[in-house]
Amino acid sequence: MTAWCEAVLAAFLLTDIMLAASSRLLHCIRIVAAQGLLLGILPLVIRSWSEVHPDQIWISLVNIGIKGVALPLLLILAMKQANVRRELEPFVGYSLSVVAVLGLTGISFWVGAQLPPPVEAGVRLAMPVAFSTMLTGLFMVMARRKAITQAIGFLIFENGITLFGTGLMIEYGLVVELGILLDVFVLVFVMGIALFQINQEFEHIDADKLNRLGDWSAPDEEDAEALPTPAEEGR
Amino acid sequence: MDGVAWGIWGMGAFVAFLFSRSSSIATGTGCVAVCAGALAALAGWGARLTFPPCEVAGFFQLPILVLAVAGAIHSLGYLKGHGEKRAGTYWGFYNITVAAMYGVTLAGSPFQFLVLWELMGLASFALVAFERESKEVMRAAWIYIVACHAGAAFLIAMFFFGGTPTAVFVLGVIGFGLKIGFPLLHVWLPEAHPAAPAPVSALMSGAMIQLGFYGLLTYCTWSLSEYALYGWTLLGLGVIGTFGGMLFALGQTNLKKLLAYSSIENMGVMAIGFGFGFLGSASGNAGMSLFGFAGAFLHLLIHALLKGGLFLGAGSILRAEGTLEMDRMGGLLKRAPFTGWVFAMNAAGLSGLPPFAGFLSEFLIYLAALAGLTAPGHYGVFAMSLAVLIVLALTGGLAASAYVKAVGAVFLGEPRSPEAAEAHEVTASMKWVPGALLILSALLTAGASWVIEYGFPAYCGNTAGREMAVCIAALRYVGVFSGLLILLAAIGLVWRFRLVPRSRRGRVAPTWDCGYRNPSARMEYTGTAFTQPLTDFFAGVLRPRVAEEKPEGDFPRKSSFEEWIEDGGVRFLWQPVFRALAYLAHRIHVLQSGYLHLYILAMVLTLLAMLLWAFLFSAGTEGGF
Amino acid sequence: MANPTVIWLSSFLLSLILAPLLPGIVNKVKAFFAGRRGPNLFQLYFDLAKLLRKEGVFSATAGGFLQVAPPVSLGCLLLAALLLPHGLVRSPLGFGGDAVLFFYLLGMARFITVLGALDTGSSFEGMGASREMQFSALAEGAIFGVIGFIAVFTGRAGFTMLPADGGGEWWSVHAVSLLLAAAAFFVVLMAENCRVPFDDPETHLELTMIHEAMILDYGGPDLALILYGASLKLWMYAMVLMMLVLPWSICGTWLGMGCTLGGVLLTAVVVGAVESSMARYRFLKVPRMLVGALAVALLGIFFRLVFEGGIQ
Repeated sequence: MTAWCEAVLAAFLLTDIMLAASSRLLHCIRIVAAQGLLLGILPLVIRSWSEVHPDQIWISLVNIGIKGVALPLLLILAMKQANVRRELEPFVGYSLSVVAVLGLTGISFWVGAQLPPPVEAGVRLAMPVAFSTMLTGLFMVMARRKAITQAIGFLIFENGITLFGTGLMIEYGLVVELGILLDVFVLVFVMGIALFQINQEFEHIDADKLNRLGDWSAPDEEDAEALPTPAEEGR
Repeated sequence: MDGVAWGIWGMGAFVAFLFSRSSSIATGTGCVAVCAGALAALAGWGARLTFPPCEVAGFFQLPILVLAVAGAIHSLGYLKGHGEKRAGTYWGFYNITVAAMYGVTLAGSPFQFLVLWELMGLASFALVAFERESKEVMRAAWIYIVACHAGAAFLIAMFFFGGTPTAVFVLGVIGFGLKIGFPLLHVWLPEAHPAAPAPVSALMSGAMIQLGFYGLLTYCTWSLSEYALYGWTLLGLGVIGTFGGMLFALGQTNLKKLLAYSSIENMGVMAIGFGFGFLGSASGNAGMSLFGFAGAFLHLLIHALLKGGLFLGAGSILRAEGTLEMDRMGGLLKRAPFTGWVFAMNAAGLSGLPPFAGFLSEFLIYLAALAGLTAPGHYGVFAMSLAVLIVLALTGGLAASAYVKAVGAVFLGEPRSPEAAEAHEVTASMKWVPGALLILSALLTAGASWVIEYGFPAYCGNTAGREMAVCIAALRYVGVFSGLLILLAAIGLVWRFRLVPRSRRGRVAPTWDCGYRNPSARMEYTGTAFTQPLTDFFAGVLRPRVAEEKPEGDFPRKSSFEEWIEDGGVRFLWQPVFRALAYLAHRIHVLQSGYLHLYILAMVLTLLAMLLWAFLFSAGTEGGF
Repeated sequence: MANPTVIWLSSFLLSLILAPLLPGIVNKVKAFFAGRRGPNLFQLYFDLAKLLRKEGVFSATAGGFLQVAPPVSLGCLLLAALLLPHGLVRSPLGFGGDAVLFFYLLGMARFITVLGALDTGSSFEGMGASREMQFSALAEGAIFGVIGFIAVFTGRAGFTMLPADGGGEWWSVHAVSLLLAAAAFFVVLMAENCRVPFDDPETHLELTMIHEAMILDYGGPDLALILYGASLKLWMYAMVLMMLVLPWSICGTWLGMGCTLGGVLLTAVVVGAVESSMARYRFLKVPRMLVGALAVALLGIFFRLVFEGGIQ
């Protein structure tokens, strides 16, 4: 049990690092899919096989279906709609991102080591990984410019929370609800990107444009940032 | 014998100043006095030597004496035809500087120490400002004197007001750190080292800045209960200094500036060593403590010899080429082969590569870090060891890169400017002194295990036992392997150039350059281009400045590209700070009105204020007047 | 039970003899993937024999480093081979911290080779030298990450995977951390030996070369020394990789030696397969990979400590 569980968790951390290092969005999305897959597998290996409840297999399959297949496909769709291929100028460079994620991982491991030893071995293992995955997700949201990469960051954050829940072996409860909430949020997020074809960062949608939304009738195929700014109008 | 040495140095200085009209007398007496004084001091040093010597000072005195003599002999050639008129000043202050430096290591009381420390700063200021016609030099000299005095201010505060061990240590780290060149306190090094005459740079970089550590070890780190604090502080400063120093060295185009930044790196390595020493003692890791201290003390000697050799070599290069800008040199190896080979070997040594001496100390500090990794325990110690391991490894790679750049740009390829094409080998004294230092460092490689076995100062108690045996064995192994490497290389070279039949030994042809018959110097990689991938990769830290004129139009006329790297500490910390100070000073300038009665008013007001202060605050403690 | 020193010595000698086989294997595998027959497995031996009989040529610009570099760098590599555990047996010359000396000897070999390249004044060789120094400086970090891993793993500072307390069966307990370290080291192996995702040993375009660009000006016996040195270096890196992945319970037996040698040859096959299945990275991406390798090595250390016990 432990060896497989450990392998899955190691793969999880590796995906975090790969995510920090990759500039191609398609690659990022594949990593997200891989994480979904790993999340689905984890409940099956965290306990010895005989202890696994048959229902768990179904839950895992559904999980893999949503997180490993559906959401990534949606992301790819959004990517194609928004017509972005790679993150060109992130706020934090890729090598530095790797170092940063590594540092976050180190901190999470330290935090994990500070906790009192829990009853179940799986928790001790999953805790630091879950924590560092959450931090990685937040870091991605902060360090990247493109809306779609930020959506990926939220997804990773949410994966971390789910991992936390799995590690603590909470079947139902607050964590799961939080996870679902974040899932819905990401869904809306991604749909937004796809519908409005946001291929740039959010900061281009500034408050002035939002103020004018009231008397703004949607032009047919105009993308959100193509709106004229007040300065241009004045001319 | 120390008194005799000081007498000789003093007399030397006196005669040199007295006969400053006649350069030959001044030079002769000055040089002889330095050497004779050093010999006398060495005799005294030898007489004091007991087994085990158990004192820290010896490790700091040897570099002073060796580099004083080396610099003096090198100066004979270096000053010839350059500023001979002021030879009296030079030799006078040179003698005083050496005497003051040696005195610092022998001072018995804080007062003596401070006086000699200040004398050392002032005399070396005169030496830094030797070529005073140049504005650059004067600017550097002023920065140096400001740093010296700022440091002295902190030291006075430390000696007379520092109460608790922590306060003493913090003040000492700032005060001595300004001499050592800890990160952010380092700003004078890259200014003063290029400005000073090469022998002076060698003396300062190889011996004087290390004296900061002497002060730190002697006066600031006596409280056993604070060892963890000492260790963490020095390790932190060391890691930043090592990495940052080498990174900025990488981006320099001036040879001596590159060497100055690499001195910051070397001081960082020493700080790491001492830090491990203290931290190991504090956390009960005997191996870490011993390897750290041993590595740091060994690095002290090695750095003095190698960096001295490199700065003196840079002086020879300056005299041979007439410039220190690496992008304007090239091809010197053919014109000055001896200087070139010696410089390259010294450079390899300071990159920490075997079989040269620099590897020994780096190796010991690696062992200290590995000792931190192998002994399970505290999370912080473990993380720090890991960080040091990685940073040292990266810095090793960067150092190799920077020194390859220096050697490559100066000595290899074709000359990049007409002056470089007319370069010539330097005079005998300038040629042989770096070579002699290299030989000394080779001897040190062979004898390092004895230095540690018999000379290791009983600083942290444990000088015997299993760790000591491991350390000595490792050093012997490294010595043997260095010998083996030299032997193997020699066998290979003999085979290649003696045993291979003459008909196949090799003929000479133009460089194969993809079909170009006559590769010109303009096609060569310059030093800046050589390190550009690395400086680009670390652009986030280095923040290179670029001035370029892009080729435009269908028939572009001229274009240019220039990239240079400014000191991070100066640019982001000190410039804003000093600008703010200047603004403040400008504001206060209002007081200087020119009316005498206003000045008197100001004086009276000050007196009144002081009286009030005295009444109000000292009344309680001493019962008033 | 065989004498470990005998095993070490025979493995050492076999290494020196078999090293030129590795590039042959790699090329054969690549040819297989490309659907060609490929060069002879022993091609490098023939090349070396031919080159040794030829005359050397030196650039007129060179001042001495060009001439000196090949013998000296080969000397460094041979000496490094003396420190390597062969057949999983620690070198009789090994001592605490010998891994540091090992990699610094390789560093010295690189230092002199790069100076030799710059000695020609050729812009291509300068370019190759510049890239080589950049990548190796970053690879150094990953290498010392792995050395740190070995130290954490075994509790000793030496170049061995034999733990201080004499345990042997680790693959059941430490599989993940060992795999991580091995993966990190494999990336370093590819980078340091100029293999495809980092460098293309078979490119004919100077602009894309790294290591090949540095040795453009060599011919005859000098090129022979360099080629032999390169194959020896690949062999030694593969040996270190074997040290990380092979179980130490077979250490000190002829079986261990056979496994190590077989593993080295297998590594060459894997290298060939990876080379066939990947395209060379853009130069900007290479540093990222090396930093990634360092990250993976450190992850190995974290896992060894936190998951598999050790630190409190």
